[in-house]
Amino acid sequence: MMPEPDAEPLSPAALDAFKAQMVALIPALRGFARGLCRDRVLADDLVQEAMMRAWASRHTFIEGSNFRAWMFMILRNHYYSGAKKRARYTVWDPEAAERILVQDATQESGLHVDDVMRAIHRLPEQQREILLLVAGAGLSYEEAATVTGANMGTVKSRLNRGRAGVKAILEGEKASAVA
Amino acid sequence: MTEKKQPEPKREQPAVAFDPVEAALRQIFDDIAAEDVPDDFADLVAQLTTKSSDKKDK
Repeated sequence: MMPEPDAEPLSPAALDAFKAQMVALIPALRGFARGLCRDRVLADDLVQEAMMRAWASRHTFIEGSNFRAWMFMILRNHYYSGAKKRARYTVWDPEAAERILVQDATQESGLHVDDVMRAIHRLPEQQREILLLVAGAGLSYEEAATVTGANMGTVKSRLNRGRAGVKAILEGEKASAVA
Repeated sequence: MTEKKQPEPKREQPAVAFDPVEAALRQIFDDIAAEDVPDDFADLVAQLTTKSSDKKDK
């Protein structure tokens, strides 16, 4: 665990609010982490590490600023800082995928969610994370820009290219299956 | 006689085109949100709170 900072400037009420906001974000953070690393257990570890880091850095959070973007940024940075150690997860593993998502085709989208996830993981990392943040976790363009350090135009462009990329991959697979 | 100006009807937001990729992604996140959160998380939150209280008590 990260060392506890000596300073404790947050009031008890602010600490409670901080904790409540962090807890409320757990589902979305788990979704983002799972999308990044494709492993359910590792994803939960990542989220818990991010929560501990956020707690240890709570004195640096500016009240009134965007807590959600701040938490996602901590998780993202933590993931990328350890990505090299976890290189084994960068190769698509169908068994791992099955552990992550074993679901039927979604009636809403008409696509199999595991097909979509597989396609997303064939995208460049920068497009993948924007798709997960905006389309998956429901962050605004502005929040996604804060999390990734990109500007809004870049976020929109990566989102569009990511969506188009996934569709192209899925259509390519369909075509090759028919051929 | 001056005609009473009718308020302009509110413009509707342009409909966002349905995107199956986004819908699938949203479903993935919704399904994860519907899962039970493992007890580890509750333990962690309790631990953080306890650590913080212990520190104040010292």
